[in-house]
Formats: sequence, structure tokens, C-alpha cells
Amino acid sequence: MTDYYVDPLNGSNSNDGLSSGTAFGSYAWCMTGTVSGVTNPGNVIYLMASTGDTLGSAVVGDSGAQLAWLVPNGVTKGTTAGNLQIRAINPTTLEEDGTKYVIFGRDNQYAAIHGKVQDTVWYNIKFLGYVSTYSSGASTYAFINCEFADKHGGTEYSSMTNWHGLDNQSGMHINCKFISSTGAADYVCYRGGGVYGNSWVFDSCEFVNLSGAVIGGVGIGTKGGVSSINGRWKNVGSCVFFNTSGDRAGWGGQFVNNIVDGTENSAMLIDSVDDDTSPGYDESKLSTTWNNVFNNIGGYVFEYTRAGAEEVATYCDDRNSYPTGINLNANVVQGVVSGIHSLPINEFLLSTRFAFDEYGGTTYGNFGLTHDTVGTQLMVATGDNYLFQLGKNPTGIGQFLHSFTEQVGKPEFGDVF
Amino acid sequence: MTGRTFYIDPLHGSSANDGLTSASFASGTNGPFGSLTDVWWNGNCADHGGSGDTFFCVASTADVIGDGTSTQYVGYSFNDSVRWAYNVFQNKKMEEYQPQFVGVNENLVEEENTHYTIEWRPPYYSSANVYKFFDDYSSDISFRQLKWECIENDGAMYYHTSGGHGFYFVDCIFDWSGVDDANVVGTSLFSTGNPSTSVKNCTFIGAGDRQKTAMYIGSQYGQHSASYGCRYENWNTAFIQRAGNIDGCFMGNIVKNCNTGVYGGIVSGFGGGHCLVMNNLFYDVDKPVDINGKLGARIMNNLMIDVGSYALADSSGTTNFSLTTGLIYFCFRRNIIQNATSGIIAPEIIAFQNGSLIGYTGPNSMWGNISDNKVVTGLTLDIADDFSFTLECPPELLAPGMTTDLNEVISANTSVGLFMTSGGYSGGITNEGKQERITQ
Repeated sequence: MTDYYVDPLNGSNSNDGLSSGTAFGSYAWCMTGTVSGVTNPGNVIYLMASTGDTLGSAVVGDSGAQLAWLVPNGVTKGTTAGNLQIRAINPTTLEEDGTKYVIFGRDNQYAAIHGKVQDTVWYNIKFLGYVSTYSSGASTYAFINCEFADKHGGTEYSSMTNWHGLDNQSGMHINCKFISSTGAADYVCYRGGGVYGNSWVFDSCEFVNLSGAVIGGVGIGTKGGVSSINGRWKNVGSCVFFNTSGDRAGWGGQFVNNIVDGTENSAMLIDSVDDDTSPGYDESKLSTTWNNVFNNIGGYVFEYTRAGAEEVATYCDDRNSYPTGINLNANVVQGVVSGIHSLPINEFLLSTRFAFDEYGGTTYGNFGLTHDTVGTQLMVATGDNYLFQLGKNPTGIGQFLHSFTEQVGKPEFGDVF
Repeated sequence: MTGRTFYIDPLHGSSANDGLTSASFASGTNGPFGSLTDVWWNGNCADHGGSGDTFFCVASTADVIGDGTSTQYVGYSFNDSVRWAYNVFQNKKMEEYQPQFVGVNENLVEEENTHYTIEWRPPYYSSANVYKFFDDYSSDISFRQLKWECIENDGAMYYHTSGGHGFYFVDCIFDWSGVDDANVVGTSLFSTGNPSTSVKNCTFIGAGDRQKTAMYIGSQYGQHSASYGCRYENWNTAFIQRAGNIDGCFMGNIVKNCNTGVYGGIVSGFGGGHCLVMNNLFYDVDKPVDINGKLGARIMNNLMIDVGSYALADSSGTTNFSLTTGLIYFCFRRNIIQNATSGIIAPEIIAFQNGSLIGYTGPNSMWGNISDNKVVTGLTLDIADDFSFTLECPPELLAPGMTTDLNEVISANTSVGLFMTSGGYSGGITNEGKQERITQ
């Protein structure tokens, strides 16, 4: 287990990389495997954020292909040495103070900086362009305090469509930001989530301008489980697409405690797999959408996307399907163009009061969201706890949004937003 | 047949009736059944209901089932492919619905706090085991507004639903406080080998002195297992996520006066799946969450007050976050803890990095999986017997920008779901740096 350093301003790939004074010159150099053992389990690669690191033409790929030299060597699940860690540090103090190390990936290549990556953790990295393409199987990697962008300084990426893809990926993001400044980036991940039950987890992340004005863009697509918890969404095409495929479809989608402020289209897209013999029904899969605030939704809050579906029901004949596993409750909606549900809910399903229940069910609200001068902070103001009663639940919206209002000024109820 | 409506009315009904009319329209043998036993143990599909039928259970008086000695009314199995075809594993009829058992008042209307009460008197089984109300394959049965009162001898709701889709209980009550202390057995209320069950807005009252487990659910085949907005009191353990290829949910619940709130199951991971433990209130619970060495839970935004041990406990004593064991499924973040007797994180829970002990908090701990929890003082919580509660919060604990205070009474029968989303970035046990806000 060894520490390595990368300094794109003063380092050199001819160095040994073992100290800040003998740092490698590029991140890609570490990941190519040219220097044996750099990406071994348990190693830490410190990226000195001296200047941007352009991967450039050395990074080549095409749709779905993994680049062998971009796979961290020997980092496989189940090792005892620990994960490979890639951590950005202040080039002067060598401390992790939140300074971002900027990696310029590719704008117009589907494959970008990583192929099949497992058990690797990135801290405080700002990624431009495609980040990952393919990691079939039980991959586990994490991004902490990272940013995913299509613009940095004067550099803009206009061709990329997403940061993560394709199938069968899984990973965790904590306190990350996904910001499309150019409007090019449609997706956070495309068909992410593993058919083997892996999950995408987005914990306390922010999503801004995904898809821009592009119709049909979605924030997250998934085959397997995907969770967004305590997230903030602003001006996105849609939020989550609980997409499904195969008999394991729709595992464990969870959308809890999010604020969604402004979507071009429907906020939550729920697809289903055609595993029954009753055309015309939309089998809603297990997904939990709880305790969210939806404001200014361009379509429906919940749009059921299966072609030909006439209602939301839960007919199925397969143990891998989850009747009434859907649970859409305790959400507050203000300003929705088309309505809450795009399809009528099957009468029986409604009557069971499990999945769609007036108790804590989706309720129209009346609240204010304000944005600071930067234009992206979200705040909620209300002067009346009881204005926001949810069914039988008298809990105020103020409490609900506690965690989102830290570090911001006290807004006034009724602020224009 | 499906789509029929049956009526059960213990005060006005009779086993000799056809069950097809309510008491108001009774004539001759046209009238309600007198007991659920007429449907389950003594019934048949042709004229006592089955899949796709609705059973209105009129809360006229208690439905006394069992006499404490006979085994006649225990262990009912839904594994009857003729009568309950919808419920047999992989043998569902596509156009049939779940059967529903619905508690209603004497005007045949569902109303809050009106429950069809089943006074169940199971016979004594042994000092180590109990009889079950349901048994074997039983799935996709929907119950709501029903109350089970177990009297004198201990019993369990069901034991085994391998491969099935399990029950749904909504607005039901399981009151085991009537079991004689001497007869309490440590078996679980819902205990199965491979179950799936979901409960919503239900109340679970334990027997004896924190001796039993309420929910022991989660199926390895991926069926549902969820507890939403429920209330648990006087249990050894409120909720065990046994298994589950899909994600389990324990959200918006109130757990009070229990030894353990949520417990990692017996299958790898947190019950083999990804159990979401969020937005719950744990009060007077020794171990709000015991991961039992099983990683795979996301424990976030919970309020834990008067913890008798550690807020995050590990009864296995061996949990070792080695960064290589699927850690993406585990986190303990943004919880608020007040008065934890032993502390927040059990010392058995340790984190290694590169072979060195690094502790479990702060930016260098794992992937930030244990971070942003907040230890507070000054909260005053007053919970009534019906689980309604008042929580007073001093202004200094309020987040900037939060324009309301917490001095409100939260009524009974409510989820705390919307309340517990707080957590803190400052203070507490973490030195995790705060991510700055979005700028562009």
C-alpha cells in the first residue's frame, strides 16, 4: 500500500510519483498501468490541484468498450487491502480542503476516462465529460464531494450526453454535484444500475440544468436500484427514470427527501417490464417516492411510460415482480402542468391503500422556493406550519426541509421564485 | 368466482348465513357470517369467498377466535390453489385481485380508529414455541382496519411464506399486551423462513417485558418488505430485515420502549438487500439500529432520543469496515441523537484503511459513510400512549432559514416521516467538511 502523487503543473511522468516533489504529471499516467502497481488495492493517489489535467487524445474509446489500460490494475472486489483511493489535495498545503482537481475528459466519445472500474473511491474531483462507460457486474465505486460538469473556465463541452453509462453499473455519490452549464448533458447516468442488483446511490447530491431545454432528457436511468436521498434538483428535464428491463426489473428505486424545483417534463418516470399477459396494464415496480417536494413540474409528477398502458395496476405472474411494491406517498406538489399521475390508478390498487394512500399521499402545497443571487440555491419559506398538512399528517413543511436550508439566509414567505 | 362481497358481523351474523348481505338486509339465512372462522377455517371457495373477493368485517363486537385450548383455529393456510389461486407461488391468475379484509363500522364505512377486533385465544404450545394464526404459503392478502388481540397464551401471526408474496397490512393493530407474562415466548410475531410482508400505519404492542420480535421479514427471492409509518412499543426487536434481494424500507416509524429498533438480518448484507432506515423516531430504545455485522443499510435522517446503549450498535461485535465489502450499501448519516447512554457508535464498529484503524468518522473514514450526524441537547419529547407526541426544540437547534419551530403536537396515527429529515452539518461527532453550495 503506497501513496502516489500527481501534479499536472510541476510533475512529470518520468518521476516515481512517490512524493509531492517527484509527482507524476498526469492522472492518466497513473491509470494506464504503465507503472506497475500504482492502482493496487489500498493505494492512495493524491492529485495536486495545481492546474487542469487534460486527458486528451490518449483517451480513446467507443460506445460500451472498456479500455484495458484504464482499468485500475488489480482492484477487484474482495481484496483485503482496501480500495484504491484517488484524492484531490491543495497543491500548496497538500491538505484536503475541498480544492477540486479538474480532469478534462472527452466531449465526444462515449467511452471516456474509465472503463470497467471497481472498488475505487474519488474525493474532490471535478470531472468534465464522460466519466465511466461500462462496468458489468458487481462494481462498487464511490464519488465523494465530486463535481460532474460540462464547463470549466473557458472550456465547454457541448457533445456529451451523460457522465455515467452504460449498463450494469453501480456506485455511490455523496455530496456530489451534477451541473450542466451548456445544456448538453442530459443524464447523470444512462441505464445505470445493475441487473445483478447493484444500485446507484445519490446521497445529498445536487442536479442542475440536466437536459436544459432538451425535451425528453432524464436525470437518472436505471435498470436496477437507484436511490436519491436528500437531493436537490433544479431545472432538469426529469429527475429519475425508474426504467426496467428483464425479470429483475425495477429493484428498489427510492426517491426520498428531495427538493425538485423546475422540470421540463414529468418529474418521475416509471417504466415497467412486459412480463404479464394483460396488455394495457402498467406494472408499477417497486419504487418508493416519499417525502419530496415537487415545484413547477412541466409534465406529470409520475409518468408511467409503458406503451399502451391504460392504468397503473399490479398484475404479475412472476415472483421477481412486486405487486403493490410501488409506494408514492407523502409528497408535496406545487405548480404541476399535467397532474400527479399520467394514468389512472387501478381502482383496486387504490382501494388497498398501500401504494397510493390518502394518508400522507401526494398533496398540493403552497410554498415558496427562493434562490439566491447565484441562482441555484434552494430555500423554502413558510410562516405557517399547518399550511402544509399532508393528509392526516400535520407535520410542517418547515421541518421537512430543515436539512436543505442550512447556510442560507432566512427567506420570506411568498418570495418570488 | 371473484369480485364478490362478503360480510362478517360477530354481533349480528351467523355461520349459518350466506355472508352475502349485511345485517341491515338480513333475511332468513341471507345475512352476514358471524366470524372470520366462517371464512377461513370453516369456509370454502364456492360460497365463502376466495381470491378477488372483498370481506367487510363489521366492528360490532369482538370476534372471539379460539378458546385457549383447542387447536382448531390456528395455523390457517392460504395454500389452496382453488380458493386462493392468486396467492400461490407463481400460479397467479392474471385477472384476479388480492382478496381484501376490511374493517368497517356498522354503517359499513371505514373510519379512523374503528377496527374489527379479533380476540384470539390460542392454546398453549410450549415454553419455546407458539401457535400461529396463519401458516404456510400465503401471499398478497390485504388487510386493513383489523385488530388482533392475543389473549392469555402467546401466539404468532404467521410462520412461513416461502416463495410467496406475503401480506399487506394497513391501519392494523397487533396488540399482544393481553398475553399473560408467564406465557410469553420469545418467538417473533411475524417470523418466517422466507417471507415478504409490508405494513403501513400499523401499531405493534408487545407482550411481557420487551421479550418478542415484531417483524422478522424480507425474502431472499426479492419480494417486498417494508414498514411505513408504523408504531412499535415494548418489543425486544421491532424490525429485522432478514433477507431481501430487493430493498427493504423502514421509514417514518415510531419505535419506543424497545431493546432494539432495527436489526440486521441473518443473510449477508443488511438482510441481503439494501434496507433504507429513514425518517424514524426512536425513543427509549437501547439500540435504535443494530447492524449485527451486516452491512447494507442506509440509516439516515432519524431522530434518536434516550438511547439505552449505542445509537448504532453491533451485536456481532465484529463489524469491520474494510472498504471492500460492498460498502456502498451502508451509511449512517444525518441522524440526530440526544442522550445516548453509551455513545453514538459502538466500539465494535471499526474502520480500517490500508490496514490501519482510522476510526469511523470524518473525511478520512471510509467513504464518508458515517458522517453528518448531530448530537443535540435541549429537545423535549413527550410521547403519549397513543403515540402522539410533542417535541419542543430550542431555537438554536433550528437550521438557518427554517422559519418554523418544532413546538407542535403531532397527532396519533401519523407518520413522523416528514419530520426526521434533519441531521446537521455542524457540530456532532463528525469533522467532515461541508460541501459548498452550487456555484456556476
